[in-house]
Amino acid sequence: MNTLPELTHSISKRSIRIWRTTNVITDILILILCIGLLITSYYFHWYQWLMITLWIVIAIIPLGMIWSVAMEPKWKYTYWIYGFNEHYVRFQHGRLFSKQVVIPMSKIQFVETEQGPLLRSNHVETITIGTMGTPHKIPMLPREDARILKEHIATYAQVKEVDA
Amino acid sequence: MNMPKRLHPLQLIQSFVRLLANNIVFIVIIFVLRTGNESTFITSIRIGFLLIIAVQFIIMIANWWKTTYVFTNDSVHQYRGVFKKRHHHIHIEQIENIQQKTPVYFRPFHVTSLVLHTRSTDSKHAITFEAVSDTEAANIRERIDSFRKGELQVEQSETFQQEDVSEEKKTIHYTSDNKTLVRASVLSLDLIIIVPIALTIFERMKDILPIEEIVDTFVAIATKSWMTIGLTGLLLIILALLIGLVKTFLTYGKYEISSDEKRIFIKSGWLNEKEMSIQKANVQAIRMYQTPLKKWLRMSEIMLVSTATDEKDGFGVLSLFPFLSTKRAHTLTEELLPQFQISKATTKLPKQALFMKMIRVPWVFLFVLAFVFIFKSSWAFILPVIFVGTYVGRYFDYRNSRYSFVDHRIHYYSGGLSSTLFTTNRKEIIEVEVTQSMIQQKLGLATIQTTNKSVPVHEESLADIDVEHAEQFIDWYGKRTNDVAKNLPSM
Repeated sequence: MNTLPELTHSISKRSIRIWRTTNVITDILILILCIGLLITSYYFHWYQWLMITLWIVIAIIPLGMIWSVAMEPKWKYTYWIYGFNEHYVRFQHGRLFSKQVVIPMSKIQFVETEQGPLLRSNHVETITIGTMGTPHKIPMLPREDARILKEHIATYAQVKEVDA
Repeated sequence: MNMPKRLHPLQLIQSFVRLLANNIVFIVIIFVLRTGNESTFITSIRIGFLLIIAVQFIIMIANWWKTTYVFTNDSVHQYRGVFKKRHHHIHIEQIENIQQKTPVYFRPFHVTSLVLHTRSTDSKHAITFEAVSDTEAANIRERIDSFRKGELQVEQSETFQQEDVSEEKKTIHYTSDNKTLVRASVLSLDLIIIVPIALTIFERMKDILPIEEIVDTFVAIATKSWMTIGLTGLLLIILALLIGLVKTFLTYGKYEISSDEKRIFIKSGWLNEKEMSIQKANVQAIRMYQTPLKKWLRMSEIMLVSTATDEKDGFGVLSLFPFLSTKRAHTLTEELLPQFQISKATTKLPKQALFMKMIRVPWVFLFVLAFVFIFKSSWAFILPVIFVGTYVGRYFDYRNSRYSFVDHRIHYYSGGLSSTLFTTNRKEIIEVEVTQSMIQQKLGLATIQTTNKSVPVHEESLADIDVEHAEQFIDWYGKRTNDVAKNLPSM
């Protein structure tokens, strides 16, 4: 009998806005850094190739922002889905590179939540699911959903398996 | 109650020799190469060095004095440390593996070393006895074994098992013979191992002798014409064969694989004897690997993916004898680990997979290309070799890849020039993953991956299978609940 959970849950819609904001901030910071470097490189007569590289980077960033601000956050939100029941946690994400993961409840070793200032003001949390290998993250869950998932895992993850 | 015991004093001598060996270059420089030099600078360095060595030796003695261990009824305690005290204690029932190694210089003194590994994934949680007498080692083993037996009897009386499982019933499954060893040494034609050895010797000698010029002249002669290049190559190959022969006989001589109800034992080594055992229940998966040469000779290496922990044995992946004939490898796994079955996987990759494999970026080739053009344009002749090798390998990977997931078993066959067979049982898989790149999505392909418990976790993947089968793979994993019963928490 197949006991997989359906992928019925999605993450918080506010995630689009949060990702947009973070991406705008990081892109602008990089831009400022590059412009600063460019000015210093003119001032101190650094290598020619360094300046050319910096000019290219400065030109690319605004173009990249079309992707990272207008498209990526929305896609990320649309394609992030997850599901869980007493046997498994299952999630899928990504459009250009999609990934689906299934973890049995009994193989989960810990659950953690984390919240940056942006997440806190938007009432969302990111959940980290720790297994023996690399931990997995389910980002941007509405606080209530995060609490339910966390409690669910805490209940079922302590289950010990015995050979059938 | 037992009295706390100390390690054999040979441990002290061993660590002192090691200390000197680690500083050998320094010692040679300040005492041998500068013999004529009586400047205050050199003299003060010498005095300083001797002082440091002396202090370290005193610390060593103190450490040895303060390192004690004691066995109680159900646990082992080890105390270490002069200033920073450490008390290490494990329950005997937690001990998974006992590893015994006898370095060649320990042998005349009837001394050996023991490591007790626990179930924990952290290798720090092992208890190490750097030097104990052979009789003491036997005592320790005996203690652990008798504890286990006692536990076994308790279990038996509780479950009313009829069969009398005797721990002593060891069956020998495999012993290495000279013919296999000679063949094995040809196979380990690692030209590469000469290079680091030569380089280290060269580096050490450079400061002492005017060897650089000799080497330079030699290199100049060797690369003068194609004839000399060929001759040098031949010489190097013969040298490699000789080294390989000695190396294989030393590491794989007197190799013996045996097992009882619960464990597999491996004994090996001509000079440095090495003994280890692993619990059958800890084996999570089996991997058989063939290098191109071995494939040609129909030989395989069996690797056991296990939860056993020891860095030296390759982080949880343990190799049984690496030069078994493929046939014997299959029967041997059946004998040792009946819970795994090796069967023929049948499903091949779809046609689109070939296209997918061909259009992947050949990273290795590109790196070599860049390297050749930037640094060594005279090496351009290796480019076509790598190029053809890459694509022929990819083609054969497409041809050879097969998979199946039936009942609770999964099998992957893959590899172009080399080949890999991987099998595990569904309940040992702790996570599965299906990924699709953009092009894979267009072609209806997907990559599947399983994760097994080991140190670190063992991931095994198969690229470019039919996307529908990938979905079936997820569903198949969804039936894992059939294989395990659960003690549900009371709610």
